[in-house]
Amino acid sequence: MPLAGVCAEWCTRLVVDPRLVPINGLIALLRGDGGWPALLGQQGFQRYSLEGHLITEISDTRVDAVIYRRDPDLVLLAECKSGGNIDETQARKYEAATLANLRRTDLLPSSLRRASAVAIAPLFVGIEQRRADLETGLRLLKLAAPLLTVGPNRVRLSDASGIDGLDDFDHAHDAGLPPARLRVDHQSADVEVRELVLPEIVAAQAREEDILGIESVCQAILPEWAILAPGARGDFIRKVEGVVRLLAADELRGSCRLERGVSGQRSRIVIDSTPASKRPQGRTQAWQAQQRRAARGLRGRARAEIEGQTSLDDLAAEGGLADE
Amino acid sequence: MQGRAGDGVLAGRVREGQVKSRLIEAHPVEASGDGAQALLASVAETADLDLAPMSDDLWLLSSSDESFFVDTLNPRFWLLHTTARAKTIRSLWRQHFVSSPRLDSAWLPASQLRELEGNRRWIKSSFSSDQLQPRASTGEVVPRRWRVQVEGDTPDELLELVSRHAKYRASASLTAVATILRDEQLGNAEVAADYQGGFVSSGSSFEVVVGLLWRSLDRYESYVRDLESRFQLRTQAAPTDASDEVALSFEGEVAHIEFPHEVEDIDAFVANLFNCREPFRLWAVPREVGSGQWEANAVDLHVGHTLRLEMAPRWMRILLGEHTCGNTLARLLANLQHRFDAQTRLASPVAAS
Repeated sequence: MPLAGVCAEWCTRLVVDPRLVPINGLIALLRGDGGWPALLGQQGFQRYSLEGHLITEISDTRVDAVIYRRDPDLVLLAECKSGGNIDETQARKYEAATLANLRRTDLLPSSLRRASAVAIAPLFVGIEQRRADLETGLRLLKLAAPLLTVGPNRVRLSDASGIDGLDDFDHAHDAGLPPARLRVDHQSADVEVRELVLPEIVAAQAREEDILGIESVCQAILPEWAILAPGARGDFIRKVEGVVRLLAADELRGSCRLERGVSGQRSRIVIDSTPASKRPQGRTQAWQAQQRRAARGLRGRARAEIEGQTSLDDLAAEGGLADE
Repeated sequence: MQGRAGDGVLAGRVREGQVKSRLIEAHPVEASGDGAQALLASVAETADLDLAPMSDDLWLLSSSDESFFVDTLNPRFWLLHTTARAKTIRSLWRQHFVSSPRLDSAWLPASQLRELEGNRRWIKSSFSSDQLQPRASTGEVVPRRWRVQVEGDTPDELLELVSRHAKYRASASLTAVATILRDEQLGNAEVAADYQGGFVSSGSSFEVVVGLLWRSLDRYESYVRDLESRFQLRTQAAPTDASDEVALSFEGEVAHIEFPHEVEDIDAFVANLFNCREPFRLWAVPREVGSGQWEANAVDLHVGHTLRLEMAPRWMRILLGEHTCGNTLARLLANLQHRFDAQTRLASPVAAS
């Protein structure tokens, strides 16, 4: 299968919002996360911040990621794209950013604050499958900016010439798509949010808790929760509430329900039943039954069971040395 | 074990014989004496035992004919001691301790068993790939199951020798060790320890034994806390000096395992890893995202924490949540060593592992 086909298949079947693959790839390339090559880390780059606020002469924006290196001193403002289009207005803001702009909203890492000459450049990050589209978009806009694309088998950085401290690379690897540090953001679709809300409720069932606050679920699944504006928080809470209602009517029918908040309080998830409260002899089967129901809801079918053989360990040594 | 129970509160409830001890990872609601008492009271209630304090950090769980002592000096890592019969402690352990989401076994990696001090008397190696790779192997891993106990001088050497053989190294797990401790003042003891945090001791001095147990507890605590410090993925708002705006900062690494040999049947591996059964107890609805590549947003049913696993025939990544217990990762590693490949390691292991 051609590489583009593999990418397309990955991105449509992921248990993570495909829009977040580029930012996860950028992070992995900085740190060598999860078997990914630390190609940017090896060039001396470090992550400074995500979702930082940038004020430019054009207008304000949020920068997906700020990364930097010393000697030569260089700051890259990364704009992550899951598709093939470049938003010109947004791109011009990145292009217009100056040292003074970065200082104004503290987007300049502390180690560079006293440096006399710091270069600043935009970096466009996308998925390998859409590289050709992104290259075309940059060319049409006459934007001379480096382009980083990430994929399950290949990562490429191009057009870095002229930026002192940044070198092109083209690297084949077998580590799959990048580790999903970020699985959803506040704009992710309900179906992606559902993949994360469901295990949070199951975890509360395992802890035998009766109540799960809706905000605690949002905080657990959304890394950007801490910096989200109140309005966006409210929108995301409503999204999660909708997902909980769907789960309570389907995958977790009879196990939980959403209780609306009263007197200005947030809503909460009430756990009505849990396999954890079953007798030990039937507990595992109850969890498995719930798992099968969830599989039908999420995947459209329950997973085929592949039974293990009875092992000598099972027969003889479950209690370890207590059997001696 | 020498030493007699007094005629007072314990009279008739401490039988003679080997002392069985268990290293416990506890999550009381409150990390204090009150928290320990509340958690032990819930165990006592479900197990129909009486709970009484012996001192500030030592508790007695007892019935009319058995006694179980719980040392809670370390608020998170406890020790349970008893001379009760193996069957009795096993039943109590399974039904009333590890069935609680606030209590778990310790899961010692081979390196921690090797560190057990004293003169080695025997070692045990137990391996079975039946659960994770149930279909007959045609690949490089032979045998699929074994149970071996080696006694004599330097018994570790045989396992070490086997570990160097390509055909057998995957099965050469270190399951248990027994060691002899001698102290001129205090006396002698023989202690056996297994990878599930179980200890059995006999001899003339329990003081010698308890010293070893506390040192083992300290090592295990350091191991688990290192796993948490390194692999819990945390995000936080990073306030700026220059404006009211904040950005997001990250801490923590993605745990990564390069499998020592390729998973022959990844479908079976995934199905049986996430089947809610012991010892992994992982709940998930995994999804195949590419040929032979899987992802799962999972729940550790032992403690009710979430984690994410991404895996392919040659590797596995574990993304711990901000509050996911390090013991979850310790359990996964220890059981992969006994059920998939004894040489399984984190790609860049923490010092203690």
